[in-house]
Amino acid sequence: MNQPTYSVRFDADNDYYIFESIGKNGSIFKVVAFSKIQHNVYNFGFGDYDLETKAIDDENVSDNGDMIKVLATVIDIALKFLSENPMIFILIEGSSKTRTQLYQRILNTYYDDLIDSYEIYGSNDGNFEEFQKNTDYESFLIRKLF
Amino acid sequence: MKTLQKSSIDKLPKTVFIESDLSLLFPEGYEPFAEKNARAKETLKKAKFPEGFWSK
Repeated sequence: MNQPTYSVRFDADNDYYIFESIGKNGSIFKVVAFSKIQHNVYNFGFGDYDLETKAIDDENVSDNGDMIKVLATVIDIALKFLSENPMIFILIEGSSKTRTQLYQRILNTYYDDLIDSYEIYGSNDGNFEEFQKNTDYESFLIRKLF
Repeated sequence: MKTLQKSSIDKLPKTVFIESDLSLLFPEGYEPFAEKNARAKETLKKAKFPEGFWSK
């Protein structure tokens, strides 16, 4: 988890974060957002910002050759958000099965680092349970322990 | 209650965060991840949680 990260601009009022991925396909702006969907649950969103349409594409696979640095940056953003928002859960659902599997792999990989400081739940068929490593889930809830 | 322990998370390189007004990135009325958020609300509405989950 000790990986280089990109510098991040953030909008404290709207819980948007943006950073510039620089790789083999050039410069791609990445947006992370946390949207309030319940009084103590924020939905995690992550996608590419299109400079022409000024919209976000959360299904694009940019293949910019810097996935580890991008993911390290996204993880850092999520941990910052959770640290600054006590008692708040973030809900993570991939925009595709591939994305969900990617989030699953991240949680499996860093579970031992996270579990002492974070509550992590996974859901299958709408049933949330405490996250078990190497179990496939459809969505995740995470919050920081204080 | 769990005891917080210093983990490798604390040793992460520090990302530089710069505060900006990012609402200017989007056209007026545009809600980032609107469809995704709508789906997430449905997920929560239909979800079942362990007993006492929300009272922790």
